[in-house]
Amino acid sequence: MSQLIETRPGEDDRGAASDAKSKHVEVHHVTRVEGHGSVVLDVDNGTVSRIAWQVPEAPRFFEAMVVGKDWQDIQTIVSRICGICSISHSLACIKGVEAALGLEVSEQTDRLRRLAHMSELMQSHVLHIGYLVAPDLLGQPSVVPVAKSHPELVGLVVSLHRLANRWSDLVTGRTTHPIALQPGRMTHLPSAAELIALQHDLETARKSYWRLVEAVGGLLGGLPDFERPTEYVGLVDGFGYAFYDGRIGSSDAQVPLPLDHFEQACNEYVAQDSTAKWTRWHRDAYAVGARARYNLNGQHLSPLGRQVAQAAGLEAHKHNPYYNTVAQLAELGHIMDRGPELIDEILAAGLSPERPKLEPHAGEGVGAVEAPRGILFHRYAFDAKGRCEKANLVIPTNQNHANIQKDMEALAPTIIDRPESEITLLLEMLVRAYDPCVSCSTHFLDVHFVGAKAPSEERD
Amino acid sequence: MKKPRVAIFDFAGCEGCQLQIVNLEEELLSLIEIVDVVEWREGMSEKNPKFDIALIEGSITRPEDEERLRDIRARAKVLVTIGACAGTGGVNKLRNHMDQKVVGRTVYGADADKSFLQVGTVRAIDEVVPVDLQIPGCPIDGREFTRVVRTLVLGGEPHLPEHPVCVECKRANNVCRYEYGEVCLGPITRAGCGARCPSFGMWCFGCRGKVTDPNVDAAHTVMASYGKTVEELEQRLALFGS
Amino acid sequence: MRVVKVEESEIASWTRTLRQRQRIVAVQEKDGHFVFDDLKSAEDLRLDHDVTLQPPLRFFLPEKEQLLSFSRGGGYRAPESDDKPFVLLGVHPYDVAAIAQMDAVFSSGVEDPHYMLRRQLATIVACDVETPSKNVFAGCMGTAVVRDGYDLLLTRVGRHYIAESLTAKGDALIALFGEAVEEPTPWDLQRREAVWQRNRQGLRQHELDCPPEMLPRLMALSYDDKIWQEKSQTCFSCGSCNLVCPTCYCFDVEEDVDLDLGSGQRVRLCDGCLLEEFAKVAGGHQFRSRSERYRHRFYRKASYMPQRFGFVACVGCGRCIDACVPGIANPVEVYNLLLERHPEALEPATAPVAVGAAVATAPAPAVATASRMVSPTAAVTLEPLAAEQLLRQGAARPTDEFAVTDPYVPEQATIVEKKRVTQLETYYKLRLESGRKLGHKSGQFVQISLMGIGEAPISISSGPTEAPTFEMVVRRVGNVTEALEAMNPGDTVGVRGPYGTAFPISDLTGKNILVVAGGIGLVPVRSAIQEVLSHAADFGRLTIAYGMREPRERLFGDEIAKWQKLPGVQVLESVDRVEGGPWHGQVGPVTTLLPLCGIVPSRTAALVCGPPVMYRYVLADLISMGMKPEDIYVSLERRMKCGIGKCGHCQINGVYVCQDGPVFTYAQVKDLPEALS
Repeated sequence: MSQLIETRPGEDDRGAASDAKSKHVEVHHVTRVEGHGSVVLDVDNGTVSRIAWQVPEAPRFFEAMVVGKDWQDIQTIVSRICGICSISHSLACIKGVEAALGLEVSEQTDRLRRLAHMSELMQSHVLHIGYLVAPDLLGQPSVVPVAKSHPELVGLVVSLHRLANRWSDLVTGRTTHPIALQPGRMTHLPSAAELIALQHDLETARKSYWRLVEAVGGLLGGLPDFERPTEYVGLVDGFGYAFYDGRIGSSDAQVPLPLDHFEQACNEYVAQDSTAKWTRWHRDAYAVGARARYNLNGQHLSPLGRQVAQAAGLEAHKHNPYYNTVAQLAELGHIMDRGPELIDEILAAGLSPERPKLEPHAGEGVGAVEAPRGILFHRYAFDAKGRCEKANLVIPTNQNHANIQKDMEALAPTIIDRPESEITLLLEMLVRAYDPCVSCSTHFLDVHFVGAKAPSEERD
Repeated sequence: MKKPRVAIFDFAGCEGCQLQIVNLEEELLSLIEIVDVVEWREGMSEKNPKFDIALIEGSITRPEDEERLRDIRARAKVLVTIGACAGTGGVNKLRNHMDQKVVGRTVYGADADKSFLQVGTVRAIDEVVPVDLQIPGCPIDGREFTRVVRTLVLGGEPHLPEHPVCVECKRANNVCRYEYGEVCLGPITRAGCGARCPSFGMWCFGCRGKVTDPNVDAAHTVMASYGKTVEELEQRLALFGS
Repeated sequence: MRVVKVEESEIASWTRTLRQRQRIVAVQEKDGHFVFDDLKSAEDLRLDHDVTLQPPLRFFLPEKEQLLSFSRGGGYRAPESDDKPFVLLGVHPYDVAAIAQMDAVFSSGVEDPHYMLRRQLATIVACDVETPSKNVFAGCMGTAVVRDGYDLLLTRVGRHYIAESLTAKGDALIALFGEAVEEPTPWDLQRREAVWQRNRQGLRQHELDCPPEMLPRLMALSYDDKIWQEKSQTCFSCGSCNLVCPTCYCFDVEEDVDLDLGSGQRVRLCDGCLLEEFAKVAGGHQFRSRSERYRHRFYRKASYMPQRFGFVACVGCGRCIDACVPGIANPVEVYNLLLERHPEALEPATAPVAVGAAVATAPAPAVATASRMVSPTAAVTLEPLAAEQLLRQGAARPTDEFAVTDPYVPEQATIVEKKRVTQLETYYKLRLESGRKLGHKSGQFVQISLMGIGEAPISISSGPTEAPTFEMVVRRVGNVTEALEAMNPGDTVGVRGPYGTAFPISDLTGKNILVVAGGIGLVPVRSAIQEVLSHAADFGRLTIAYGMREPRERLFGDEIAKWQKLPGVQVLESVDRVEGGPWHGQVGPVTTLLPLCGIVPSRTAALVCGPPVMYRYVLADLISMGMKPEDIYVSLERRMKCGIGKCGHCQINGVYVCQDGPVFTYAQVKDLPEALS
């Protein structure tokens, strides 16, 4: 482990003298993650008696809320599942609605949607790397003191984040709860001049991105060394680094599944005494997200992406969950390459206003994309009037919960002889590495422990 | 002048409103020069039991949320809600119109009756504690947010527009959505967003809540002249807990 | 002045050539409609448009513009203008007429430097309408065709355009056609005449049942008609009708401080009188209900503006009809309905139809001056409005050099003294930093600016003086007055003014002066009292009747004691209720003091000032005691933003409180229904 894992000033430091007998670590509402999740670890007489990743996020029941709603209002509602990946939710939604209603979109719309999707990946990854994870690598509690100690680093992060937001604002109207992404059409087109200006700025930003890579790369020694054999699930299309379309691939499967069969991959179940619907496929858990994507499609990364992956040593650590953040860093390079290329394609085809006639009819269909955190599925069924009859949404973080739990179960015994503050940090960092988007997890439940003792009662 | 201490809390919501604060980018760095952000779970690990201004995102859905909220209210001098979920209930409230048992079964199937799956109706923050100021929107508008903060820091009372989105739509030189036969809630929705949705080709969803004196009767009356029904209007009004 | 003919195909290359020399703002297509916007490519020009979403007025009065910037330590500064000369290309005749109307407005009284600068920088290329819009009725308003107000006019005849210049700028534009011009034949000019005839007759999608110059008469009869309630049932108060109108110019003013809290700017934004906040004052009192706001717009166009400027402020563009979602904005529909209900409006005018005597009917054809007596019930009849005539008589051409100091930028004043006088009110003495005296008269007000917070109108509470200081007593009701309260001697505030009308003390020599003050109303009239006392020998008795709600609200206690002792001065006081302090005097409303004043109506002038509710009773009592309305002076307040008669917020019917008031005679306001409600 690295020299960077030190006790943070002011933290309680019980058991500094490697007393592995009895410990209790509880993190109520892990900070620097989206949404509410908690970690509990109990060590009795040198063994882990309980390790739990709990998600007390209030359930929000989106799948029920869209029932009865008009097909044109679904995106407005489900976008609000998440503030950070609302573009991904919107895209999965409208593709699902289109699949159900038999609507096709023009190439222009398809390209603009892919362009929008990339902007969100950039925005979310930069946020995660710069605001949520970097403080840990620098031994700080948040970006606020980092802004004072490493102003240049924060400046880079902020400028890249700003560019990503400008990108998504341009194409969709607004990063959070996008406007222009609707079933069957784009409601607004950027102008060629605006796209050219964006393209120029993306190309200029490559320098800033590289400086960020160097800065973060120098801190990677601070990442814990931990691996666990894991199944990876994500979109695959056989020829590229799939973000937007494809079939459901698994590191454990030769043949990918069609999207329409996603329930076969996800196998949701309500977990005993814990807090989430978990998912499993070929093993008892699987991982989605940047690390999964890299494991499935890493050979298709763009030149810049591959360069960064190499420089950061991603290949050697691709089974280390803490390296999910590094996989995100490499994906940023891919986006910096592909974004301007896609803009070229759009400009070459020329932008022309479209007002397609859209008529609903009864049907059922699935839309899926890779949200920043992993593969996302939306299934909808509509009646002949275009009213939603049912919906089933499976969120990436959903799909990671079981894996986080399993990772913790494997990690905990190897670290119980450390001071509690260090154990806490390692567990928090593990959760953060997954970049969980907990409030997306619409199926999540209350944390009342049915039949088990409350954490405070178990303390020595 | 001592810097006011600000703490940011969230309940049931998508955290998109907090993201708008992050999206202030360099301006956020300037903002933290005039206020002290002492607690913000989503972005910081620091905590502080004492603060002057509490910013709240999200709705109240469970008893423990209510408890946590009351504690925050007791500690805050000024309590400001950010966003529709906290202000009016937002999209979360869609579920209040439904039979709770039906909702549970839809999502959890046979597991629906497990005790830990029971949740109450959704409530806005001011249905539980007194609120000093509401910043509306889904999500909030970052510029409106900093304007409110600047006014609070200067000791003033922030004012929100009392006129509808139509004003901003006209200022933006937009074509009125009614010309396209769409049911736009702009005429009864509070301005302050710059008419962003109509500027990007969509009707206004009313995410900022109603103006001071909306003429909802007028909205009902005019639907027919655009070939729409009152039911279509009501469906749209329900989207954000209006 | 030149008239030439060019082939239509020449327009594109002419536009290209012009664009190399100057910015062009021209009509283009947007989402199936038309807008004025920067012209990037000559191919985008659409001279065949029917109507633009926004009027070209926007380029003289933008949706949003900076009025000033400020910084602590740097004071207030006028904005740097980076406006450059530009060509406005494709302006329809009705919009040309509207611009001329706006020229009159912004050059009258205190000239608006921002509007005037842009006006000066603009070259107007008008074009005759080729495609009538769905709701245009310019033909009814005499604005379908104009022969003045532009630099160049383009009229399509067949495959040619006839281009006519009226100014040197227009000639220069013609020169850009180069060799491509021909001399128009008489036949060409006849064809152009036919286009004009066609437009005069054809731009009438709605037919007005009376000549537009009769509209003021109609409005005089219609103030209490039920139509305003009926129509506004479905009004959203959305302001769309205001914001698309080429003759609506009211604006709001906002203060915006930067994140460093030390610098910022003040901006103005297009506003509308239909909006909820338009007539609300700090403290929340709403002066106009929804149906009253709905009515107000029609009165602005067809009654108040005509009385003040001599033209009906509607050019029949039809944009309000297009923009109104519930479909209640059609002026022609409203006027025609009113004509049905009040057919006497069309009868030849033998005697004024108006209620109330104090009405100024401007002798035709002179333009009604900006008189205080702009009443909704004034039966003014205007001369037939040929647009040409209107343009020649009303429009003030901007001068080439106008050295106007920016009236929107405050000067700095230092707080010399500050004293809390009651729970809510604080006394201030201020001195302008320049050292000059304010030069104010009794009853006037100033606009006080608090950097980063905003501006508010405050009455001056001290009489005219040679001293370089002046005094205010301010009640805390909103952000500005609260921020002022936090200031201390030595701090600076911004001052604009003095503005408004005064108590005409020097005209009242020889008379007895009766001052009736209610509560905080004593603050403005104190200036008049001081002025009277400084020339006490010129006046008869001075009687002050001062009513308060409670003893603890009493202001100027020390001074009142001094006044009591002066010969010829009597001070009577009363409270509504005895709470919060000892009181041994009269209990009851201020009206109970009036019988005790010993008024001799023929020899008395009354100065009355107090909260709105007080006026009704005091004025009724004074009249019943035999006083004449022209001998009673009142001071009214309204929401103000500019102080110079431009932003429109302080209107009482057709009267601007900041310019025509705040001091009025009762005679002037008794026919203003909104004055004393």
